[in-house]
Amino acid sequence: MPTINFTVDGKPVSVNADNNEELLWVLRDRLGVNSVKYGCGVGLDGVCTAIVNGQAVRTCITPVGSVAGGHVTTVAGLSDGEHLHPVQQAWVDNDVAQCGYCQAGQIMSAVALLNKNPHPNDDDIDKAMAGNLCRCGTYFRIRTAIKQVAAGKYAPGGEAKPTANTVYYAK
Amino acid sequence: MSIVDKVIDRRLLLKGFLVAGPTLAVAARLDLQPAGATIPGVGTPMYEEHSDFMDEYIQLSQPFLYDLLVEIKPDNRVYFEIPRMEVGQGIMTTIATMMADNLDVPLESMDVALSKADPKFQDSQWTGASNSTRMLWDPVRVVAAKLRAHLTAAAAQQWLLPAATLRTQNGYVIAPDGRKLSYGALTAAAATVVPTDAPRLKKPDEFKLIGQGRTRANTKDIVTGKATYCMDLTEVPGAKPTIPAVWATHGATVKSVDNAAEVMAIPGVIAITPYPGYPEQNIPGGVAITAETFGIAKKAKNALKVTWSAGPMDNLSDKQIDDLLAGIQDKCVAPDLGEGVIDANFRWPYVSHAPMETNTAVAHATADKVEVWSGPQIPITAVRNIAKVLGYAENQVVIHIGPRGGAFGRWLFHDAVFQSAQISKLAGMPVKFMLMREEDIKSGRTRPVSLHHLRATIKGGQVATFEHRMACPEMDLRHGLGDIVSHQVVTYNNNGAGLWFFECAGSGNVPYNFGVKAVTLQQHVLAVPNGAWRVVYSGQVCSANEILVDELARLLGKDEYQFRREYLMEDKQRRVLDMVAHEGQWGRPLPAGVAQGLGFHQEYHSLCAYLMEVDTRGAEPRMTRCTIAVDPGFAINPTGITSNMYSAAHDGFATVFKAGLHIDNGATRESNWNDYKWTRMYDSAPEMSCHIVPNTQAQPGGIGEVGIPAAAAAAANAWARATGKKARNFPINEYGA
Repeated sequence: MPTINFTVDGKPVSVNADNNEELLWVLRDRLGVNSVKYGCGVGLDGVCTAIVNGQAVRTCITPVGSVAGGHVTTVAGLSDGEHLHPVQQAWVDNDVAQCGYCQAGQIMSAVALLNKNPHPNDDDIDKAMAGNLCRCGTYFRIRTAIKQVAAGKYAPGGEAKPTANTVYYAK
Repeated sequence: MSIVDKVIDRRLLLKGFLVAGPTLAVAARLDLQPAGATIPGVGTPMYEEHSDFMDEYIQLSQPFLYDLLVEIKPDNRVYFEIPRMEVGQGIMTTIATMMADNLDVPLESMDVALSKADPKFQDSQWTGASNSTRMLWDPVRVVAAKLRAHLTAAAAQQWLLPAATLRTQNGYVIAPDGRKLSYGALTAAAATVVPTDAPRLKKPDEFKLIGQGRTRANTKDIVTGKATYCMDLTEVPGAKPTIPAVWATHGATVKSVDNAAEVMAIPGVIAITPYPGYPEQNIPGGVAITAETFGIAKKAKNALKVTWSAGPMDNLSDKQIDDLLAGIQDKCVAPDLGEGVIDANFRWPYVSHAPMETNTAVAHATADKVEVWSGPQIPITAVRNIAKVLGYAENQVVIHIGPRGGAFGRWLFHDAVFQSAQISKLAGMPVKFMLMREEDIKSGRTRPVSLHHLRATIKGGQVATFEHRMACPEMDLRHGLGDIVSHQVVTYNNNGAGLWFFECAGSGNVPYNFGVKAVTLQQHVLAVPNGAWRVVYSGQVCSANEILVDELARLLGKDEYQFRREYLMEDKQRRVLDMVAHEGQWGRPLPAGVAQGLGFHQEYHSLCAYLMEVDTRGAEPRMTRCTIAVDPGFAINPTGITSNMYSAAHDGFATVFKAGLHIDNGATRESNWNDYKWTRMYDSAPEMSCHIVPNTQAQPGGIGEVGIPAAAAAAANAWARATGKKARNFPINEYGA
């Protein structure tokens, strides 16, 4: 198997994998990057969306060989420690997430949209977000959050308000 | 009148101090000896009308509800375990808020976890039927009051002051002269002190956090990729990716694996493990493939050749199932009274729960212990079944519970919990088990297909009779319904339990003065795995009722809103209807092809009305505006209530226009989002609002499900008003009407 080099959230990685292995499973199962999730495996729900060299891609149908030498950004790479990206901040302030499972993909699609088109209208949002499914039905708040970022409501580096801490799986 | 006041009259005792060292770690229990004073104001009200089945369960579960683990740590943080599942409905936030407010601590000082499966809760550790906030409302208030009483008593002892002169605020006990002691500094003394003063419950006008809108507790984790779902766990280092190949047709079993050696030779494949499942509870068996990555496992699954037995319904497709259901369906019997009759036949298809996170579980089975990390909504049933079938004592089965990526009822059964434990035991290795989307839809549980015959007749210019005859495959409720008695009943008479649930939950209740009313259900066992799906039975029943309400209004030449006002039975029902009509501008002018539709529903002591606008001019109908009014009884987190109501709008829209499974010769046709369609951004309204009625009760109603029948009906009614067609056969985008 070839060694494939690229960066994930700014950090260089090197992985032995078949060129045709899906980026999603290389990230999760070979590199331990869990900030991308599995939803459908065939590019239909956008749950696994990451940004590769500036483009939003579905990592479940992206061969890892195609990102050699490139830059992969997941939702974990948007924030800088406690300081949130404006899109993340808008998501927090609008309480967008419900179960949260699809939101990493939703956020990456929204970031890619706003990078290309800083002032999207409803049609633009419909088209850009068409591939991201949410079973909890958070679309209205996603739309609101995107519009608020477009309107310049959030500067980079904001922080989430303190709230209760969630312990995952009680010890 | 409250259950504690009237029925039980027991004292609440604190037991189990010092469970975690020298801190106040409380586990309160109801003392079963009738003695002493009750705490005034506590208890589930006994509803004279509209008593639903949850009221009964809250009462039956009383002995098990108060044993909550809350620990005051020396650093003044509060550790609190909630015996429920978080699946996106927001209960970790809501119930943590309830505890923080009643305990007088800042919300941000709380560390909130979900309890492991614990026999001390018996069957009351279950998440469903919108019960979580309702069932834990009193226990949280009581336990918090007891904790405050202990902390205050400890401070009183230290300061040599009467406890009654002290107050609590922000994690501190405060003396009249302003001196403060933190809960953390008092926790050791509080653990052993015996308070002389009775605990004092906070009154609603003292709440500081309850009633304020707030974002969910782990939202920052979610947006930064740190939220941990089951497949992100690293607790079991050797657990390798494992996926199943599932039956060709429902109920089929593995006869042989025909090319195991060939598939094992694929680099990265670790094991191939046929497993029987648990057919008695319709938990499918299959062939598990374990590999270094899920990607390799998927390739191996696609290469694997399995011979399956015939299944019990290989001769049945949609048409035969419909004929079978029509054969058992009760007939409408009201005669034509001479002034008009509406007869309507509705069909709702099978739909998958299809949460974004498919069935997942990490399991590690050894000779004397099995541990599973997952998120069943009723973990005690999983413990019992794993113990019984896999040969363990119940105390050798440990189920760890964490937040899930959606459920919608899919996790009432513990399919993946059981399957992963079985596979781990058979394979002799820990597994990280996940259904791929195709298997999740093809073998997963469903809301069963249903037929509905409705008839309403008119006499004297009024609706004189209203009948609703439903037939569907028998709803599988063998997961239990929250207590040991019903669990036994469901095991031996699942059909009877379904009929009872149907009657007692929202379905049996037609909230209009329609003269003689009859709503009945007939069921027939079919092998397609099914289970309760967010808002049970009433998702189909009450949506169809509300469609007929619109048609009755038009038959009588009345406005659909005014007609509902006239026939609804209570002012509180009219209040939400008026609110939605006002806020949503009922009757506002819209272009041809665009229309408004109304829907009303009440269940679990909450009421709501939806006013949806649907544009039918494009290739597919589009929700363009959605206004919601809701009476949640008592609002704890308005932001979370709004989330649930928005969510229901999209579920209702999907079931009316987009979603449906087909059965072809015993197999589910659909397999992924290309053919199993759901609401997407381009279906969703650019304008939405949710309006919450000021508190009408002293305790919260259930909010996770109530919106769906009203939302579905509003969507269908808007479409019907825009097109002039009748909504009968769902999803409309497939059948056209």
